[in-house]
Amino acid sequence: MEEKELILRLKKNDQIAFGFLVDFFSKKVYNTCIGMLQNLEDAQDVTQEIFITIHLNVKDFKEESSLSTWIYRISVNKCLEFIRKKNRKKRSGIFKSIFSADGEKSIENHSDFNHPGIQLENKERSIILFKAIGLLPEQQQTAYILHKVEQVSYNEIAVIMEVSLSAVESLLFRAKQNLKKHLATYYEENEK
Amino acid sequence: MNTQENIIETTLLSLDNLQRLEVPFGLQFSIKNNFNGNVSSAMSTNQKWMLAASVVILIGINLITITQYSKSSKTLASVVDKNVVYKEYFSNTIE
Repeated sequence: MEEKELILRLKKNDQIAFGFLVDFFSKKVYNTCIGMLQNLEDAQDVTQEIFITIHLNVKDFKEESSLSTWIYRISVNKCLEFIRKKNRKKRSGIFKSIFSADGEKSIENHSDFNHPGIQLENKERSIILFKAIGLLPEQQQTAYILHKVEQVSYNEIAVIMEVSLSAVESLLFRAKQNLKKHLATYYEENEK
Repeated sequence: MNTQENIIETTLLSLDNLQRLEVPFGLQFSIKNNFNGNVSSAMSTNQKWMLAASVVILIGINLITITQYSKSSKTLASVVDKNVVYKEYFSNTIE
């Protein structure tokens, strides 16, 4: 099925077309969610929400970008929304605010995420890397995950994130620099 | 490049050759099910737990209210009965 035809059928609320959309795009959406949320259960919940959003909003899709880009954009926004909500809940935790140092960000404080798709020899290092990714600012984190996990091109990342190509390059450069900083601190502390 | 820089570089490369995961069958099934007008499964696990908890609390409150009401009505009934007996007894003695 061609993209134009698929979009047309989706706009007509064609159930078969939606089934095809799920078969074709669910892997992309699910894996983006896993990379960004670093939790398999949360990724499943948000993937469901994303497809509901797609279902409800496809009528308003103006076809200014490809369907894949539009779906990636919804996925990224939904994941960021989920992360913000989760962080708000964490911040409002009464015990956390009383007993922990406010705003302290370090790899040690971040929970472990063992991605099932990582090769065995890279497991330990990837857990530390995922923790460091979780400490990046939203924009850098999004660009890094799209590039590293989903292998999306710089051009497509620019369209998904609605920024210029040079901005994507800068985001990825800064993300790498920040990751190096976080990792350096972590390894220094753990060598002692 | 010193040892630490080396470790950092290998850590940064640990996501290379990452295998993307297949979507669980159950998830795909429930997404497709949502499109057939079954919105109930669109709820997240958290929401389902919250809903279950609120139903349990609601039933609990109802049970407590019912038992307390039946207890208080029993005591009230016994007080009313006693009053009637006292009234009859004292009215007889006065006469």
